[in-house]
Amino acid sequence: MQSKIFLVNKEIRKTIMRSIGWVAIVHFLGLIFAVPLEILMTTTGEQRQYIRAESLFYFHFEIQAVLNIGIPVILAVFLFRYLQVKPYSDFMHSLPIKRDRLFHQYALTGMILLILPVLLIAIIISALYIPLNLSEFITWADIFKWLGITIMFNLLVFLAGVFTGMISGISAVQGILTYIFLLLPMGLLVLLAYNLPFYLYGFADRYVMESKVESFSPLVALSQVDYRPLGAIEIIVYCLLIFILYGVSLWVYKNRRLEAVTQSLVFPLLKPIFKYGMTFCTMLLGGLYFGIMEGNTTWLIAGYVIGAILGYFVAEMVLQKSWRIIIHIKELIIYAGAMALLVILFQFDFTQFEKKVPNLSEVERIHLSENYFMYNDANDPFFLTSAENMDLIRRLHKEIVANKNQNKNRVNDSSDHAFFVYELKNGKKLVRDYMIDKKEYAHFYKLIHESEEYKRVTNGIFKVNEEQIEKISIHPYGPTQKKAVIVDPEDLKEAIAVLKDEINTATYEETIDNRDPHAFIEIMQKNDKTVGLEWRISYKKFEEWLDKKGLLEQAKVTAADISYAYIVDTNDLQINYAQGYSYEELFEQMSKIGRSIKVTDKNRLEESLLNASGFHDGPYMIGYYYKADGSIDIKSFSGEHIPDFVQQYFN
Amino acid sequence: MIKISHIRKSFDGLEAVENVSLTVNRGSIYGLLGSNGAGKTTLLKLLTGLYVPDEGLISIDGQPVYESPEVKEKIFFIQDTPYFLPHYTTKQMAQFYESIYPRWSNERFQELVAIFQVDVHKKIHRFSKGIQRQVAFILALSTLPEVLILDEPLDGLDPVMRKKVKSLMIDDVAEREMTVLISSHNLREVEDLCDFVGIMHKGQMMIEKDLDDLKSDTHKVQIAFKGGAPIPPSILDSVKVLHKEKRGSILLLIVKGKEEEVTESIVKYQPVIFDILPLTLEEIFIYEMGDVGYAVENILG
Repeated sequence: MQSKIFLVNKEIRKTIMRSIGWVAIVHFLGLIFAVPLEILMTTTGEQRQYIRAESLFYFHFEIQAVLNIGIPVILAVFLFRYLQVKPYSDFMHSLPIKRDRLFHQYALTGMILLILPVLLIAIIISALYIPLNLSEFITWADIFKWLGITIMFNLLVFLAGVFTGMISGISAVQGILTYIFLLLPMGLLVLLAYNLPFYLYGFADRYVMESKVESFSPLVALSQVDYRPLGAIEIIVYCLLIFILYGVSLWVYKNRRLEAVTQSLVFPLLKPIFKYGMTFCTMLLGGLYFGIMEGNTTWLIAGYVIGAILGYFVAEMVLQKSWRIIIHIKELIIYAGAMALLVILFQFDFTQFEKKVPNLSEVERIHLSENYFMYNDANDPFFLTSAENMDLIRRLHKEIVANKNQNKNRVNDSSDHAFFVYELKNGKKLVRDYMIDKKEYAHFYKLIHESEEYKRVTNGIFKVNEEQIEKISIHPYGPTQKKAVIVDPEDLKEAIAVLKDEINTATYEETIDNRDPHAFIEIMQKNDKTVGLEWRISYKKFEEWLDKKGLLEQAKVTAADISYAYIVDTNDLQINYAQGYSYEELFEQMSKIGRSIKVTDKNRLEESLLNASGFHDGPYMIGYYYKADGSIDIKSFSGEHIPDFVQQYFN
Repeated sequence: MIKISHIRKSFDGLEAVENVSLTVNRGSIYGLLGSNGAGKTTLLKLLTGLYVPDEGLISIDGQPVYESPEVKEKIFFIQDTPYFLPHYTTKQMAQFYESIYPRWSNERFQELVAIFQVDVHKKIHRFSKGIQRQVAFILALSTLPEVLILDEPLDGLDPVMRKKVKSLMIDDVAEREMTVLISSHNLREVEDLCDFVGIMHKGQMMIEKDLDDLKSDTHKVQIAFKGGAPIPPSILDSVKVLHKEKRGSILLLIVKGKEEEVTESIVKYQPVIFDILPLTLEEIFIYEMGDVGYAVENILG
């Protein structure tokens, strides 16, 4: 006999509607309030001029985010109530309907109920588009983008909820697990990234953290979608996940044992995974909180212990469904043993992570800088490819690794980062980040930084097409309106040539000179791209060239610009570094200190200007009073750059 | 025909059903007896395809039940507490079942509603427990099931309703050859209904009997010989004795066999006193099961 039950059973649809229809209505009303109503209210009044919408996510995004995060999970929980209530579950499953049919009908109806309100809102907005002249703010494509992204996130969160519904036997656990499940990949990544540097010397935690960790959690991604647009890969992965979760949920459902309803986790296999997974995560969290905040090993271990015990207890409470739990000390001891073993393995570098330095033959190109953002955030990060430089970098890297303990012990506030990115020929990357004292490795840095290649790739001026230059303007360092401009094509060529020569002949020591440069040079090109560089103190030939052209006076701050200056011992000043300080107040203080030099002599002023640095970390401070408008500038002297007359006065 | 062979089911390492086999013929009413926790409900849920057995086979008319709509649409299972969709009226439930069970009969439904006099437009969860049970019966019988499986169905029904329900079931069994499997913790409740009884204890099937055979084949016999003369031992060999007891000079025996045969073989020895008496069902079970009989006495009395 032909079965009467087809994929869609009218009565089952009615049941679904009766139990969860309200969720769709709440969703619809929430969206009405958040988007079309808001558009109607803001675009028809005076506020219209203040609308800065870049997409439909601009309107009440907080409400939209809450709906996108909340509604799908509520829907999944209420929809699959029939799985979590024992008599309901027995009732539904004693009906002559196969589980896959039940699943398809429930899940698909749920999906339709999620899509419908969003679709209706999109239609309403489309209807308002022309009457309200919305093209001023958004395009038709924006409406479709909003529709697509909102539906995608809703379905993804919903199916995550469906999946956790299949593995859990309690509605509340289903809801909570859904959020844990959606946050876990990112959370674990963050926790590991913060904890691994303790075990893997050179692990580039900041680089990992900056590499789009948000997209590992759909929840975080969706709560940022108003200002962080999704990439194509993210969209593809999320859409694939929707299908995968649907398929996996169905498979799990077919294998679900009905007698486990009302247990937190239906599949016995999942219980230890959940328990130890939770213990592990809270252990890392404890380590992060106590260890990294306090910064020492004792606190780190204490954090691990506290975190692990707490996580283990909470997991047991969830599994045993009671706060009065039976603790299996043995399990905790075994766990502690396993973790200790893991730490020991890390000590022996069992992954060969620390010692690994790629062979020259494997490497395509190398980036070496002081900060991950020079690689990550730069539009066009620089790379070294010459054999000599790559070999030098490898040797530098090896030496840093060899001096691991020494480097670790000397980490302080003024430590530098050595950030390596090896891009290998096989398409892989090896990224390392170390804290070192650069002075100890200066012999390597000198060779690398003085190489022609390094200078060429790190200085934008070498990429400038001389024919394309519109003008060069030179802005002196300091609170002055002076500016030198070069526009004559011949002069432009000469200036570029002199600057290139200066850069090429500069020594490593000159490039790390922390004294303030004379000026900041902007090379403006006809394509509106601007290349900037500093006029360093060491660029004497450029100074001569400017002098020859009669531009020197305008190109830097000179003694003539200064009325007078005070030089004081930094210790005599009261500077509130934490709360910030104004130059005027500081200058006021300087003028009142008895043990100070008031400089008015031209030569001494010149000498001061040449040697001062904008970093206020030297033993002596100088405050300049500018003639033109009475502005104040504060700098400091340090190390070998303290002028003799200052040294003599204070000794 | 329901056939269960050598099934086992354990929950978290605790055996709920241990190696149970059972056969129910078409058109018969099988009473599954046992105290609380004996494994009755588990066995019924295994039979309705809710649980998967760890071992063993279950079939109805030769086909497995689990995930088999063709078989399941012939069965109806009433849980120990009948379940209805939230906020549904009897009418709505009827529509629901009608869309799912191909053999649903509206005629039968109307007939049953008239018999029980239930307001079909009232939400079921507002009814008392007893009326909810009646609604469950109405709905179950309206699907014209070939196999009706009931978990403690008579709890909460008053004697009049009990009688009504029983006679309705018997009618369906007689007219349509419906097979019924009914669980209960009380033999008396079902003895007038069942023609077959199985007793479960701690997950195992202790005994399975045809009630009619049982009633006619077991007898209580009292014998005494002249002057308290010793009983010739060969008496005990000539009949099947389940139990013997001496009260003064009188020997009390529980024996199996046809009444005439038993009488014949004992009269040969010319006892002074010879009585052959019928036994109550409870007595039969207790004697049949020997030691464990006392453990399950409570379900028999």
